[in-house]
Amino acid sequence: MTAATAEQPTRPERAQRVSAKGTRRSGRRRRRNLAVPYAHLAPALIAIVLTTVYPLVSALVTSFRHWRLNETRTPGRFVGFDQYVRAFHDGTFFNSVWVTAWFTLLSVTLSVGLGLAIALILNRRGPLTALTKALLILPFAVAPALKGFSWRFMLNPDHGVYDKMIGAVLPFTADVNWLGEPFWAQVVVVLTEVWGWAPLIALMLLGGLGSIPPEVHEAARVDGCGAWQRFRYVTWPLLRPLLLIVIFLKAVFSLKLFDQVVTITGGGPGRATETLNFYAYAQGFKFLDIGYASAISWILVVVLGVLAALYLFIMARQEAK
Amino acid sequence: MRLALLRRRATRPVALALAGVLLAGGCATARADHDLTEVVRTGALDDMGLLTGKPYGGQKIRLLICCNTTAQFLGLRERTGKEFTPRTGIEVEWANIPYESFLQKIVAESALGTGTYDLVAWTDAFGASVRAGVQPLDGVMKQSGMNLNDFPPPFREAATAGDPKGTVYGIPFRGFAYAFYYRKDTYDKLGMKPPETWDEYISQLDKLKKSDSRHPLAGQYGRGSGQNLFTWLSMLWSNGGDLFDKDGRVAFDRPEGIEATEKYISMVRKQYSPPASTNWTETEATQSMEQGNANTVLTWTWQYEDFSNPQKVKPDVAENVLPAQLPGMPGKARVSYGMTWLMGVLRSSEKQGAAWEYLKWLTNPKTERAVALDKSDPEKATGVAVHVSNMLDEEVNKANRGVPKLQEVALRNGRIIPTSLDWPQIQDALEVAINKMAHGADVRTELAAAAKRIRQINEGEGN
Repeated sequence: MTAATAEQPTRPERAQRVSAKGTRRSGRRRRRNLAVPYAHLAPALIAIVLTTVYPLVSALVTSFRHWRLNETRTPGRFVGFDQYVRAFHDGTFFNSVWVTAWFTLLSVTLSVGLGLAIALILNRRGPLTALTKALLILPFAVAPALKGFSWRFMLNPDHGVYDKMIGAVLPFTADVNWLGEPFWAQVVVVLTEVWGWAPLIALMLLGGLGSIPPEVHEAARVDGCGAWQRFRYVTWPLLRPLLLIVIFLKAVFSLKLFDQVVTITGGGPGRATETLNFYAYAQGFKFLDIGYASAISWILVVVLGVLAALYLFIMARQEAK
Repeated sequence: MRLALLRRRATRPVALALAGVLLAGGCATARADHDLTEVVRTGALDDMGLLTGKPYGGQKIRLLICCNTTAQFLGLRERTGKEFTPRTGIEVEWANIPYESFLQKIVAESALGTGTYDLVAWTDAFGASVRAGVQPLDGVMKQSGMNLNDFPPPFREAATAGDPKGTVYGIPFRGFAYAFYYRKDTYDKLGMKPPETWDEYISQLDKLKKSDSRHPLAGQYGRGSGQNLFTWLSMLWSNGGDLFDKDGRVAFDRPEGIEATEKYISMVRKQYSPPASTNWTETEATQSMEQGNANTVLTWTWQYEDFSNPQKVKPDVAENVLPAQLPGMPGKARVSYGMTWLMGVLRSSEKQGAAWEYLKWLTNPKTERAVALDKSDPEKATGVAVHVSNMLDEEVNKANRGVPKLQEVALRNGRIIPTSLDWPQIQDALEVAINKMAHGADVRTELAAAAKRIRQINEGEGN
């Protein structure tokens, strides 16, 4: 055996080294493969952390501290759950909870009901169906502030177009002070929500209606089902999963109602249209009580979190089915 | 196990980023405070009180202000570029924050001190909230030979931003009194003159209701930045009442307050002001007048610039609407609510010297006079004056239809609202109460409820 051959590794040793190198390489490759999705997600994750997670955590910490912006530049002492306790002793807070719940119930019911009706009408093919579907998105596309100020202006009894139109069509409403009476002001805020949302919901439901195979309807028709029975026993059960999603989505947005309150009623008359989100805003940005505003916001976050969890649970159950 | 390790590694950067953000948030810069006299340069002054030799030439300063496109601000902004910058070499950038978000912006800026702005403008009631973030001005004013003697009493009070020691924190640069506007054609037809007292005014409203199709009054009883309090406060003060007594106790629910409030609310209950005005703010009330739908309106003196501008209102409105003093309570003095905009130097500014130069120029009576006389462009023309010397100046009055003189008279006995930290909450409680009364709630009950709420606020509810 020469020296050179003596330095040469034996075949098993070589195989072992190659195998070790291969293992290292495949390990690196696997790690790289596993890291790629995280790398792709990183920009979005960083954005979410900076714009959502950090403010949420920061607001939670602030909700346990006394901090009035016009007193100190930085958050003050820890006060434990005092600000949450304060909320549950605050009549104005409960008023805003009640107003929010009432708005949510009304706007979800009317938006979804009207959206479903529009969807059922447009599901029949007609010469203007495509154009109507395209136009449906417009109310939702209007900027919320513009929507609010326009409604306020147009409902002004002195020079408002809507006021005059409604008064002409329904004479008994000619003397209604739309934004001056608590009941009508609430109705107006709900109607602006329905005006914006019902067409969008109709579009969503049209997608659902389109996915129902026509054969099912044909079979029901052959079996002698009328229009109502086909809706009751065919359309409704097949559309229900989508309707649930739409209801939850609308409920979440209704609970956050803010823009119309600021631009149309300012929370009035009295406190008749002060929603929870508006109340949190007023505490934070009008009264500069950042600690209390954070506590109220977190109460809203918890409510929305419960709804979101319920939504995810229902979605998961539907997928499992 | 490897997967767990990888997950840990993957979460590490996120955790680090979060920690970095938290650290950055926690380490928000707190700039060292210096007395303004230590920061500004001294030397020879020109005819406008500005330092000669352009010592701050080339610097650019930023002013935190709202609504800079309205005539009352636009004239000043225009003149800045034409006169101030060539004189000093200092460029000035005016921010344009919408009024709705302006108040929160100025409080946040003065509290947090980001250093983005060098000067800040505020309305009198927010002085207490802004005070901590702006420089006291007594020292530099003395250094520059300035004082507040040429301002009416309510504006001088507002300059202290509610400081109990009377330190000056801001200098008034815009200001108005509350005034009475009426249609001369209708008043002449009915043989009436502007009312001396609120009782006389209410009887005039009754006559107007019976004999003219226009609203007798375009009131503003809706919620919105406390605008439904302006007339009420003038009536309350004129009746000898006040929001708080000398000991700081709530006083508006006492007999003189109840009487004034009942008169104020009667104007909408008797439908002299239209039912819709229960939701109107200043915008809708003045729009009603501008469109020729109302015979009288109560609003600021500056509003006359709009009422008399045929490009903004109906021609018959521009020809017929005239301003007059607010009425007073029978046998008592007239009191007008006087509102002023003040400007101060932010503590967080790195360019306080240049900022002070601009503040001196902007609040100089000569600058104000030049703007008030400049009628070359109706869009930028304004007759707003805060210096008594200008409000009494014949030429200024001739160019502005006598409104400056009317304002000066009103402000002799004018009042400002309390400059306290709790004012935003107090204002909210009061404006909701007024709004509810306009909708039919009992005056005494609502005043008592508002008083109770304000006592709770004053006692530090939730603190």
